[in-house]
Amino acid sequence: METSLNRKAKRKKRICQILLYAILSVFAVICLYPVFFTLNSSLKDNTDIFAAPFSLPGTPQWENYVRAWTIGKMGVYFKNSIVLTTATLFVSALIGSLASYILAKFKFKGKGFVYLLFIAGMMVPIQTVIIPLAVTFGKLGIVNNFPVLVLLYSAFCLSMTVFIVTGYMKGLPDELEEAAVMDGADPVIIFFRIILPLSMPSLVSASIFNFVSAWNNLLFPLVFISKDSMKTISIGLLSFFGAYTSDYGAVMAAIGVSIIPPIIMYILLQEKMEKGLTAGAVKG
Amino acid sequence: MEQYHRNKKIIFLFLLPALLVYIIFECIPVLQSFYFSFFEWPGIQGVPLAYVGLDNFKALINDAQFHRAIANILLFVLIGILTQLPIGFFFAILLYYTKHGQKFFKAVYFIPMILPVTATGLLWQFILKPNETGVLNNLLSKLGLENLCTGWLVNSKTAMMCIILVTTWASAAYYIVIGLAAMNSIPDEILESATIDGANTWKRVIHIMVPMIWESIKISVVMIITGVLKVFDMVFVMTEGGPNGLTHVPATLLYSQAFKYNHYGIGSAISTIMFMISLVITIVSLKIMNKEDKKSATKERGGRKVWRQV
Amino acid sequence: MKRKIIAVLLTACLSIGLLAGCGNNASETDDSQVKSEPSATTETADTSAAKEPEVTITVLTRYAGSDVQAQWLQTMMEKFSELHPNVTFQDDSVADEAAYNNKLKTAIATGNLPNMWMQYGAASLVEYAKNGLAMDLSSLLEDTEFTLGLADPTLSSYNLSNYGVDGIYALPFAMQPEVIFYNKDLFAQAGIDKVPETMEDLIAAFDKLNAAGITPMGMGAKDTWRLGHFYNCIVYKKAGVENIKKIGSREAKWTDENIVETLEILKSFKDRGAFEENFEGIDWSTENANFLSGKYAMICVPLWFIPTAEASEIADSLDFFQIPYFEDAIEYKDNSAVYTDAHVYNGKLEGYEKEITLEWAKFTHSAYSEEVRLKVCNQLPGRSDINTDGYEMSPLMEKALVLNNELTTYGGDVFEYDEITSMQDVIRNSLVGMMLGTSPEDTARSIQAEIDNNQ
Repeated sequence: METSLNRKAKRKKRICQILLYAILSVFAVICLYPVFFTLNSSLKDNTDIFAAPFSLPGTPQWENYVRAWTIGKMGVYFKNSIVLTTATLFVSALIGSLASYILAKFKFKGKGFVYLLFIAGMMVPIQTVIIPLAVTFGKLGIVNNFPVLVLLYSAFCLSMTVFIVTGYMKGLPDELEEAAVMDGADPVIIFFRIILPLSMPSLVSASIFNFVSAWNNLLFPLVFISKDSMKTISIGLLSFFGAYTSDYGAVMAAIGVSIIPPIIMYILLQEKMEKGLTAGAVKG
Repeated sequence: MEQYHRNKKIIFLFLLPALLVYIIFECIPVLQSFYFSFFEWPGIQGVPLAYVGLDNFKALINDAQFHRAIANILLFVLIGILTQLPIGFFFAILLYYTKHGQKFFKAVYFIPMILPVTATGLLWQFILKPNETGVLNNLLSKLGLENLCTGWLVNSKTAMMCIILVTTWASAAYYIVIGLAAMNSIPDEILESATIDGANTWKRVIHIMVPMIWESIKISVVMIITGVLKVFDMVFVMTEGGPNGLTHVPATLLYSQAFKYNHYGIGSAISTIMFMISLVITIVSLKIMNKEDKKSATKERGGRKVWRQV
Repeated sequence: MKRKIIAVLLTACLSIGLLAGCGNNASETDDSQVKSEPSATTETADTSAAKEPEVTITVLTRYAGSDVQAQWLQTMMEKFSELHPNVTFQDDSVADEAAYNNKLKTAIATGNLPNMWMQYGAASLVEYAKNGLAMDLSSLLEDTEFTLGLADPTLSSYNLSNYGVDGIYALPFAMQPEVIFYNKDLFAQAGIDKVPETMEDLIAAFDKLNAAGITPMGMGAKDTWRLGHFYNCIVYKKAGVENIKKIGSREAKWTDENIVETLEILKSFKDRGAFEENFEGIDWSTENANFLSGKYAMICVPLWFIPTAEASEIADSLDFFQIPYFEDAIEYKDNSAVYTDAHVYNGKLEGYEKEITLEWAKFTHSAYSEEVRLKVCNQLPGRSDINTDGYEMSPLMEKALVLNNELTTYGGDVFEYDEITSMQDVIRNSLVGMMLGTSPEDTARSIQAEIDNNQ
């Protein structure tokens, strides 16, 4: 009696397990298949893409990637995106962590207001500022200007950086600074030697979040970059898609070029990326 | 030490760069945007702004395209919450109970999230192409479901829904990770005590887990709302608001008005209205959930008590 | 060391790609260019060139990349630099429409105008002229030798007097009448022995083709200009060019009965099965590819399609015919849709830079220039006085020339006569919207509403 009950429970448990993994696998296919499909198609020629969309490529058409990289200029766009994003991360991390240090540790009138001002930025959609910026930049003749774009991108990274890093720095004990202050060390040295290294985890989280938003940004380059040689990968991909719609292999390869680096980066930094991207949701 | 933390010079110098960049590139433009909504400018250098009062807002109130954009964004918010949240938390719960391969599945689910939105939009646009060229249609007809085939991004019944669901595809993983993190922070004893009491998994989830992770559900809802209200990229990439304005959301309409038709004032008015709407919706949703929070908190306490007694 | 290897690899990749890219489409135009090379130019070299100041002429067009006229622009810039060694060119051209518009928009908003740019229609031109951004070209009219050979000798195409602006601010370039290209084999297969002459014939052809299981007409309406172009043809043949111009000058309305009727006709074509299902989601390049692989019997497209048609694998089966006329609107039989690019020149220029820019304008609209366009790009010339001696024209081009000479009354895109910038999108989008279910009356109303809201 007891054993049969036990067996029943065991069987039930096993069915549950199978069901669980079945559901998990179906969802995994839904998540991965479109990506796989793109990479798969990127190695086929036009006829194959439509005649046999679900099969593997017969002979891999690597020329698709060559075309995407050269005619599609994905190489140039790629480099531009890297330059722009790296500079943005550097600037926003530097000025953002300096400000966070003050907001976390120092005492002054209006501190609450300044902090709130920064945090409120998370609510501001990019499209709110795009028209005034276009008008102002137009008046000043600023266009195709990477340094200005870096500052603009950084401004939109600051809210998240300040939010995450300030929260983290608040948790650092004052004693860490104390000895250095007693020794009369320069505040800049205290910041760079003591505070910054200790806050690195939070800065990494913030930077990953900022990386994704800067790398993906479509509206700013759409409006402020008109030179082909300065386009970023997001608008470059769009214009390549517009101009070569019927060269499906190359278009798929171009998409492939744009999605492979983030996937590799994710494989390398899985935990850190998950943490960084969801940092906004977890009270810091 | 106290003195060091009140040093005005340090405060000023350290804060200045960030404040300058932030004020110049974000704060001032936001204010300018309100200001511009009362003006018109044709986008030609040297032509001054012309004051038009409330005309831009009046024009929008009578504009069918704007109505459509507002309706679309509200649908987007609603469906966004109804899909992203349940899918996210459902799989978070499943993963929580997955002993082997939890990390693997989580990684797989996260991949759509890290793709550039442009790439996501374009690859789905390709999959959703009309007629036999579309992969989805191709798949459906292979499965013998020809009658379901349609021009997914053209058909007025499906176009907006497709964009919304692709957005869900691309962002549900966010809530899986958030949900999983929240569940992992639940102390084991609580769940264990329930197991010993003989509560089955489903009951455990409802009665213990949901209240324990209520805080993160709340944050997720607010994040979906604020995220969706900002949406531009996905719509712009997939349909550019077409066909015939069918899939416009305020942000894409703003882009067309300002940068295609040179109606910079109308564009600014859209951004002002959107700013107000998102402010109101965010505050209201926070309020509602706080209220519910209180209610459910009392209920939950009662519930747990009953549980213990059994 | 590592860096060097990467650099070498990258260069190798790049050059392979470039070679592969060139092999695709340039080969065919290359030999024809060689032929045109010896044909001497009538321009006399400027002897005083050495004394002239150095200038850079910035050109912003869509003649780039895969555009058929990209070669023409390159040739013109080369030749002009030979004549004027002090002139260098900065070519900002980009083929993609959205990218082009973005560039032009930025240039206008920042005041960094190129010396020459192109655009369609009067809408923005009026604004530019009023604000001194576009150069008044009236002085060119004095040079009768230049104007007489032009297809439009009075330069009336871009007359802005209807909008209260005097002067001439744009040169029409590249006349492109819209026609219907068709696949002779598919017509024969469906038992159509005579090319449609009237719209009634065309509709009968739709029915026959449908009966034979052939899609009558390709229509990549996802690119809204496709449907817009077809509508231009219908409205001009049914209601006349003059009546569309009247809408632009606000003497008529979109909701007028005769215009609504044209919308009804367009819609009835869909109901008649003229296009495939879901054509609203198909783009132009797919339409183009499908037509050239024999999937459609017809497509409605301007004559710039000739080189593409002739280069295709089914070139021998392709031909074109004029847009059929309506038997009940015989008075508009000679009204046609003909597109031109407006070439506009920077109105802020002064002194020598203005002079040389005008010189460039003349040069690019000269008989020599049109000869290059014909011989290198296989494009219909916009002048009557070009030298075609010893040049063997393709049959399609021959036919196109005849058609071009017969043109009497023509108009461009219907929105070109409207001052409101948004009309282009509003009209084209509304047409697509109509195909997706909006009634013709409501479509007319929504287009008219855009005008009324902008008053």
